[in-house]
Amino acid sequence: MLFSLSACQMSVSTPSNLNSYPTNFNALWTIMDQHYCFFTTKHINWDSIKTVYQNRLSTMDTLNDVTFFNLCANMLNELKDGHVNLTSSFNLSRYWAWFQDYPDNFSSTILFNNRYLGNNYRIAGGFDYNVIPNTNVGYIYYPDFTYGFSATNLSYVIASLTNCKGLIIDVRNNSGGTLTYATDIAARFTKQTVKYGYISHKTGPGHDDFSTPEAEYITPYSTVPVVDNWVQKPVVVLTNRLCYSATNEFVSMMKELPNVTIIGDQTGGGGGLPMSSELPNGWTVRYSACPMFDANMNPIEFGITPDIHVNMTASDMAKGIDTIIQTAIQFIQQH
Amino acid sequence: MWRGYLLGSILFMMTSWQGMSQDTPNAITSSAWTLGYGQIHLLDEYLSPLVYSGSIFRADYQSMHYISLQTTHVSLDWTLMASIGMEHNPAATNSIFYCALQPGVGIHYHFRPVPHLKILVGGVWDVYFANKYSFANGNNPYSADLSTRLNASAIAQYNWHIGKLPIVLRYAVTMPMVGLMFVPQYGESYYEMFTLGHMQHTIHVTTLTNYLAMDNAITADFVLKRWTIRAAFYHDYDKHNANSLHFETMQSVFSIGAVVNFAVFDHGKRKAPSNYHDINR
Repeated sequence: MLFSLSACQMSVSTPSNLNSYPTNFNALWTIMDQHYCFFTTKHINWDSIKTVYQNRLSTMDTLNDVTFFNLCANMLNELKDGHVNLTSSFNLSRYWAWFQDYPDNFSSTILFNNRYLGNNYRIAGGFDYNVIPNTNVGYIYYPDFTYGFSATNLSYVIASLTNCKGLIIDVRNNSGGTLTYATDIAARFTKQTVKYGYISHKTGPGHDDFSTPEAEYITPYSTVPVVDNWVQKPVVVLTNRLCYSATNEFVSMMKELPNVTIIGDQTGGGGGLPMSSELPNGWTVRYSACPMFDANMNPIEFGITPDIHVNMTASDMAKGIDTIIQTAIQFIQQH
Repeated sequence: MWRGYLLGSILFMMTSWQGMSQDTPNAITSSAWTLGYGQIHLLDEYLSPLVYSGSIFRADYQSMHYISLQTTHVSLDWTLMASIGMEHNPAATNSIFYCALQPGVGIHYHFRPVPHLKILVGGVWDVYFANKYSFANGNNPYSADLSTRLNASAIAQYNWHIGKLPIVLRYAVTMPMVGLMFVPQYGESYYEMFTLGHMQHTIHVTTLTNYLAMDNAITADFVLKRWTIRAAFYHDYDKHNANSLHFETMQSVFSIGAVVNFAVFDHGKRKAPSNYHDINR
């Protein structure tokens, strides 16, 4: 009996020195080495990065939690991935060059002036919507895929714009959130099941240990008349570089629908579903874990190219005009 | 899906209890309920590479009765374990909420090698369903241990006394031999599994090579005039591997409760005979 009880002990133990910098450095490097999904896609030599930063760690003049955090953050930023973050109790590391190095292509001041949304627009479940003044074009602004909505919210929004000639869905500056919201919206614009992409995941710690990519589909919400209208009429999705993660996936799926046109700037990317882990000292690390692809098996990590590329011009902005919305209005009126 | 499984398990237990009462009206049934508090350590590599530790509350139910009046050698046993707890990482920066349910049914053969000592050997079929929720994780906040196992089981029971106080000492050990378990793929999100329905390679056959577990229970039943009080120590260990992921759980719990022996003779129409079979002897 005593033998039985003593044999049943945990075989894995926690490192004795939780705050040792080498221990935590190795833990961070190993977590990324075994779980990050874009080493091969991005041609990253993670072993050589370890050598470089391990040398820096061993030769640092001042080593404390803040300098160690900065060292780890710099190592993670070598991945050039907006889904990679290190979180401590005093800071959050991030890589934001995927939008900071590009034009904004968005101005909330212009969007909310009387030319577009104005003051009397409606709000339903995270959607700001209205008919653009002096046009017959419906406009929906969805700023964040973490803003929840119900099927009823969406039905009311679409029904209220049903007499418009076309519809603009503006997801600029939307940096992502819940993936299922993306399919919920896209499901309103098709009467048929449409394959929009693939998703895969790691099956082991090797850099190329991946499952066979599985297809993802948009399933039609229903066949009520409102949906029929938006299958026939033009729909434009507006994008900029801040469209990331779930928004990037949304743009990828909308691009597969025949009556949908993407207008604006290239999206920011973020085509790896992120997951989380942690270091012995309690810092958490987020990383891209499951690569996602478009319908032609191209990775969407680097963004989606619009059908019509348009930047906001300084001269238009000075006049309170959003060049990208104006392009979308013209496109709808010509079709 | 797991809700349906849980509901099914509970309904199964309830209907089985009714069947037991109706099919064996003349057998003594010994039932025990205990409540306890203890420690749990868990490692779930799907959630974290670190061992989490914390406290746990646990409830156990056990019942045993002979299969028929014609035998005092073969018994049918029902068990149910439920536990709930909160565990923390070593740096105390994150927590995992844990709750588990483990119903089981088994058959034992009773050997009596010497007076006062009984050795029971048999098998138990059970379902183990543990839910773990990590508060810090994004797209991998939840992990489930779900398995069904055929276990080898052995019980040693010794009737002892301190002065005039009868005491029944008992040691029980259960070890899974073969079964089925659910394990997510190494880097697969629950979004892929349960929203998109991509469930390939998540169900595995368990053997001693990939699933090592042992449930130990030491109990002492103090037979008082009107009550039988049970003091128990449970030590459960579970280790399994699949899809390059490693899972481990160890819990040690001290419990206290009551044992009730009851019987229904001819559906309550006449008094109890003097020669009924007592499962405790």
